Amino acid sequence: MQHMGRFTCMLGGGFLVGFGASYGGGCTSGHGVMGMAALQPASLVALIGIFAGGLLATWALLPLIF
Amino acid sequence: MTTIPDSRAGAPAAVLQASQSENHARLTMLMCYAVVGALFGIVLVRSEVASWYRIQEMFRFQSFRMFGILGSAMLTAFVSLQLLRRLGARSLGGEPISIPAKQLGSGYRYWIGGGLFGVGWVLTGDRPGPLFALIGSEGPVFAVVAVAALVGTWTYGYLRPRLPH
Repeated sequence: MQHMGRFTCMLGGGFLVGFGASYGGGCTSGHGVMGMAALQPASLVALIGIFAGGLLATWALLPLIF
Repeated sequence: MTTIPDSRAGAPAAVLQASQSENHARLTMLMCYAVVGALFGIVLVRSEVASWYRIQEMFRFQSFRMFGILGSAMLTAFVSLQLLRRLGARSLGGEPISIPAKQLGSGYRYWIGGGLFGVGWVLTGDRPGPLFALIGSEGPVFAVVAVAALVGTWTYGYLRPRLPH
């Protein structure tokens, strides 16, 4: 049962990674490293969004699952 | 009996030679991509920036490690970009290296896309960079993540006209 939960997590998480990275126009490398190095405001917004999503998942979502 | 026409039969020698050297250049370029890609994969795995545990330490503010790595990567990228720009460097293909500016617009796509990506990042510990490296280092479950991510990008392409940008 726990095995299935982990599998579903990986499946759903993978989907969000692909969907979010293309919707947001980049990931931690594209926005976080290159975008910031090129001083692009859009990348700063995306990075804040990424960090907010990560904090939310860490502190609110993970305790619900595990 | 059918004969397969040889497309090169009528081509003058010079054209043949040109296409041969073009193929050679393409092969060299592909080899460079493969070497740089492999190095990138090694760095991502060995520095543990692709580790779910290190990512959790970052989001729980228990370790400076990830912030340090991301920060030094930003700094290195900034200096490299400035150098490339000043030196007027060109890519292997001969095009000038430029980074097209991203339009902020309403910012919706960056907030929502970034947020969704962040949730997926925490759930899997995976992102587009180490997507394939982790299959090699962690095992088959990350092949599932990679396929799910590809489905995610496809879904974005499908829904794109209806999403706020």
